[in-house]
Amino acid sequence: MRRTGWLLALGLLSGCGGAVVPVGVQDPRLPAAARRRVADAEDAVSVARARLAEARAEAAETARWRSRLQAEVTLGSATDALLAMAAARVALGQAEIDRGEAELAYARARLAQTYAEASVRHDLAVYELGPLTAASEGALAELQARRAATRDARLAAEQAAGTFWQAYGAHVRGGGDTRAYWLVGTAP
Amino acid sequence: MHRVVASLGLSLALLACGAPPPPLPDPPRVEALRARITKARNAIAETRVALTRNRGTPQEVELWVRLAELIGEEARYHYQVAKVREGDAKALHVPQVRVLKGQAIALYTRVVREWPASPQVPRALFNLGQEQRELGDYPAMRAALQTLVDEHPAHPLAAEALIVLGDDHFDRSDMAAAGAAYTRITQGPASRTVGLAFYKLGWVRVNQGDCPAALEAFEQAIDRTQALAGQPVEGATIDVRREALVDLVYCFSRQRPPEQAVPFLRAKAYSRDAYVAALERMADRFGVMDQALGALGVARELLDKGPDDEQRLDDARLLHGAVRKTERYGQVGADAERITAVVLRRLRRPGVPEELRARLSAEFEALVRDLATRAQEALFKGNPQGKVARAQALPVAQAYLAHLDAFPEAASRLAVMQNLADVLSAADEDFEAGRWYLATADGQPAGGERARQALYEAVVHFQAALEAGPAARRRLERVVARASLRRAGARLLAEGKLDAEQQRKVKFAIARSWYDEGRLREAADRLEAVAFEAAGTAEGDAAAELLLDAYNTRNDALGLLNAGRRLAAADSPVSAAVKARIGPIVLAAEQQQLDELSLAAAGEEGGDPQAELAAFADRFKGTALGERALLNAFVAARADGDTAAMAALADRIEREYPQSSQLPGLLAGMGRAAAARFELDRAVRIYARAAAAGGADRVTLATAAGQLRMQLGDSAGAQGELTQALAGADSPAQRAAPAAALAGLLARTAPPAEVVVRLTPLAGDGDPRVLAALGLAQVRVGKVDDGEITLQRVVERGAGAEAGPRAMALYGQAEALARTLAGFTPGDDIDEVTEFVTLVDVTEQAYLKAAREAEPAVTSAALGRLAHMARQAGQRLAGLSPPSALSAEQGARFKAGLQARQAKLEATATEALATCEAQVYAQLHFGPAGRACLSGQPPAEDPLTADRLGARTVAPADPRLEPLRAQVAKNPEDPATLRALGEALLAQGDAHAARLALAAAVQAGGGAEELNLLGLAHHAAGDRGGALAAFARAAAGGLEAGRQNLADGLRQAGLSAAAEAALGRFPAGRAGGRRLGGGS
Repeated sequence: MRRTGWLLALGLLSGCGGAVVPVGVQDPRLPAAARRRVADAEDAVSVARARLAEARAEAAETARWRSRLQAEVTLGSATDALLAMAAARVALGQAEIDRGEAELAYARARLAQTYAEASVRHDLAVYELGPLTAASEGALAELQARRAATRDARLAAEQAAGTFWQAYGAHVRGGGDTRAYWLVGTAP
Repeated sequence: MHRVVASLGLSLALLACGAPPPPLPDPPRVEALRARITKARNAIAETRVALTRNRGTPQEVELWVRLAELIGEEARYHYQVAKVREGDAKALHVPQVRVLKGQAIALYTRVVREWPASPQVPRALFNLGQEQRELGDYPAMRAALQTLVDEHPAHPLAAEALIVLGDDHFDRSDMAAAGAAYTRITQGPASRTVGLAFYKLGWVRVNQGDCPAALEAFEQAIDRTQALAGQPVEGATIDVRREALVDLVYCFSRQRPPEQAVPFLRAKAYSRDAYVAALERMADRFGVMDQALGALGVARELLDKGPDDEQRLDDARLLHGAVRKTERYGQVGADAERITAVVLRRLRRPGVPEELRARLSAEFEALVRDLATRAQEALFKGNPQGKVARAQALPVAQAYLAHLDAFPEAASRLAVMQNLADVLSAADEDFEAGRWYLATADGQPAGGERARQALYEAVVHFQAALEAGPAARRRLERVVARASLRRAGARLLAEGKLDAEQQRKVKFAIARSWYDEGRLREAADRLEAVAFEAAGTAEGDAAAELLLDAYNTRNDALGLLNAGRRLAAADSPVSAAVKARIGPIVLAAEQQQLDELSLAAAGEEGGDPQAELAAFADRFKGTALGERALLNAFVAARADGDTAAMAALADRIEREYPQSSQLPGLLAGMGRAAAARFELDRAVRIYARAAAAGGADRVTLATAAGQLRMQLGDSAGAQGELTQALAGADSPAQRAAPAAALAGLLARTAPPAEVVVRLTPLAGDGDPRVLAALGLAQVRVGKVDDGEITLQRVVERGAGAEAGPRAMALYGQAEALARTLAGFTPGDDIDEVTEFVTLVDVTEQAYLKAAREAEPAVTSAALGRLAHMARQAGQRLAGLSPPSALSAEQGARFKAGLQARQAKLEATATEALATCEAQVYAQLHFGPAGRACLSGQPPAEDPLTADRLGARTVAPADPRLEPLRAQVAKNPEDPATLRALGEALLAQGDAHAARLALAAAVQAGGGAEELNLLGLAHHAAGDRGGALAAFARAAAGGLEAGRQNLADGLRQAGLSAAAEAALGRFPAGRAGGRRLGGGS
């Protein structure tokens, strides 16, 4: 809920940010250092967008794998652990998406702020920087929270993997059939 | 209506114009011949007219010969007319021919008879022979041609005559005579006739059964004719080169090795047509002779170069037979392609009946398959399962591929694919072998043993192909190999009929394929499964190591760590050897994870590295990794200047890892951080704590604590810290710093007797700072001899001694002399007076020597003391009475000399004081010695002391200072922040701390305002000399407050005159800055 609220607020601020007219990295009125800052901020948005897309693709693949597992896999005593590992990985995928969204939101807020600062400093336009700065700081706080959540999800996934491999080892030692794992159970 | 008709007519006319003309038939042959007869007759008539006009002229003979030729020509036309009319009747009865030829013969005979010497005679004889031959009068012909040959042997027509004569003998089977005639030509000059003669001679030799001679003659025919190639050919009726090449085949096949046939014919043929014609003849010949070796090359050459006609199918059959019979399979791949190409061209022709198509397809499919399988049998002969040379195997594979391409519907296709895969496997062509095994499996009934075996072989070969490395395969092939391997492996696993070893290999191969592809997440899940399932096997061990490598390559230290721990766990089935190898990897992973975490957290915008690392330390509490995490967190906190976090972390490290070797260093870092934030009491405490924790830096840390206490005016505390530092020092080198600090502290703050007591034990190390302080103290307490000895140790170091100790030592020596001088009272003896004067001079020089060392405090003290000594000595000299041994006059001169000496000494004193005053401003030394000079009175006592700092007022912790401290910690070179912090501390009454912050501000580039503030802080702390120096610098910087504060400070020091002088020395400055006693 807290995250949703933040994203909503950021969305609204993005609307405010929409009022900030972008400055071009080739604008001759800007000194080289300012142009570099603008370019870096724009680059950060591109990078964040790409990371988010990658996170979404991976998460979708993991979700498909989990669905297939739920429908088909039977691995004796290790089945539950395998499903739990899949669930943890799906959760991790979602956490990665959340983090990616937070990163993108932060990058956009920083970009709006950078445009505005550059404009103000070099007399291209007049903006009230306070709300933009506050938006960036809020986005950064949200990003930190998402990073922490991702770390937690990663640890949970690792823990689930440990549990699964323990169960898998026991299954193998007990002479269990592992074909289901190889045909369906392995991650995509 | 008319317009319609006209239009239609025009259209038709246009159509007619546009249409091609109707074909005109060739004129009848007879009519053409008759036209020629008419022309010949006209020519005959004209020639006869010419004869009548040229009787008796040289041209007459030629005209007769020409007339005879025209008549003979007409006769031939008549003969041809008759032949056309009567068809191919063997015997033609044409009276006019006989008449005309008779006329011609008569004319030739007349020419020969009447003009025997004419050059026209050979022509007449040759033509005569020809006419007679055509009339069937062969004896006459022979006679005429023989006459020509005999009487005109060099004439070109003689060779032609010999050809005719030879042919005549040949026709009558008189081979010897024919051969003689032809041979006679070949011995003559080069001409086209020579080539023809050789050709005919060749046939003569063939008929004589002499093949070697025949072959030679045919070759000569080709070569001689070829030599004249390009010359104009008149009336040639036979292509000697082509005919000879074709006709020599018979004898070649009998005389020469068969494998030389193709190269020989290729070398001798002058055109593709001739070459193919000869090859075809040779193929027939070898076929008849059943000569497979020869047929092999000839058939290949015909299939490659021959026209695409029916005969090629025979050539293909011939080739199959030849290869099979010779068992020469080195080119079986190319041979199979030759055969399939011929057949496919044939089958693709439109109009080939279906029945023929099926028959040909079946026939040649069998032939190609036969060739390939026989080649494979030969390949594996004596080595059924072994590897074969790639160069030998590839042609066989090529043959199978040709078969598969040409006959996709063949019933044998599956077997052929299996054979192909086997051959490729034997040749180590793993990728291709894998592909064909997979294709074979696809063609087999699912679930069958053969399909399973093929799938397994496919997996094995794809894996081998991938193991060959990237360089051995193109990228596309690697992609195909991996995908195919996984497909085949999945099918095998799904069937579940593999034995344990096969299952292990297949699973490992699948996992490996993901790994090789760089899809490491997918690879990790499979490799770990193999590691557990196949523990103790080569595959299991390899999977374990690849698993860790996969995580490592992904830079997933956490994954690597956890996987490594699982594999290395006690209940892990992984072999002991692998566990032993995994141990260090896990250890390195732990370190790596921590490093990555530290790096990533510190590099992240808005990241919280301390929290990250602290959380990590929680996970690994009690381990070296946990300790290192806390240490890294401490480093991160220090980078942020977060002393609170540093303290918390240091406490935690001290609590959880009391034996940590990093603890002293960490505390030292904390101390430095606190000092950088001007949390000086805290810094002192931490330094002391760090020193107490031991470690290599304990002496340095205790010394730092002592020095900091000195700065804060805590002399007793400073002595304690320095004493502790000295106690912890193990060597003179370690003792040097604390000893020097202690010497400086004692020299400034302790009575000389205490200095002697405290420093004497340290003198043995020979540190010049200690020795200088000790020596001076010894002099001061009256141990002049000891002092001189001690000070001499410093001076003897020469240029190597530090400036400060050396200057102090020289000053001490001067003080020792001054004390000696003070205690020396000359008696009633002129020598003693002289000695006194000499001692005064020596003392003066000693002070001057000390003053020249450019050590401000020593310079001021030496000059002041010089003035005092000079004035005192002068007064003493002036008060001396002349020795009683002198006469009155001598006594008066003695007295006058002493007074002059006194005057000179007084001048020295005055000059020394003036110089000292000037030095105070030049070197900005306003300490006790400097102030003594400013007072205008020479110091009666040794002024080389320091202002004693007053008691410090420790300000309570003020959170409002925190931002300034944090800012200063991050940027210690920011004068504005340093000044703000100094002002704040000063405002709180902590002048001791404030002066350190303000000194740092000045050091960082602060100006007159900062200097003035520094002066205020010094003044408040009790450092009067420091305060006056700072004010003087502020005044020099143009700040009026500095100028006024300098004057006020001097007044407070009882130097009113100096204050006024100072105001005169500096012009009035700008407003701003605080004043002593408050206000601005």
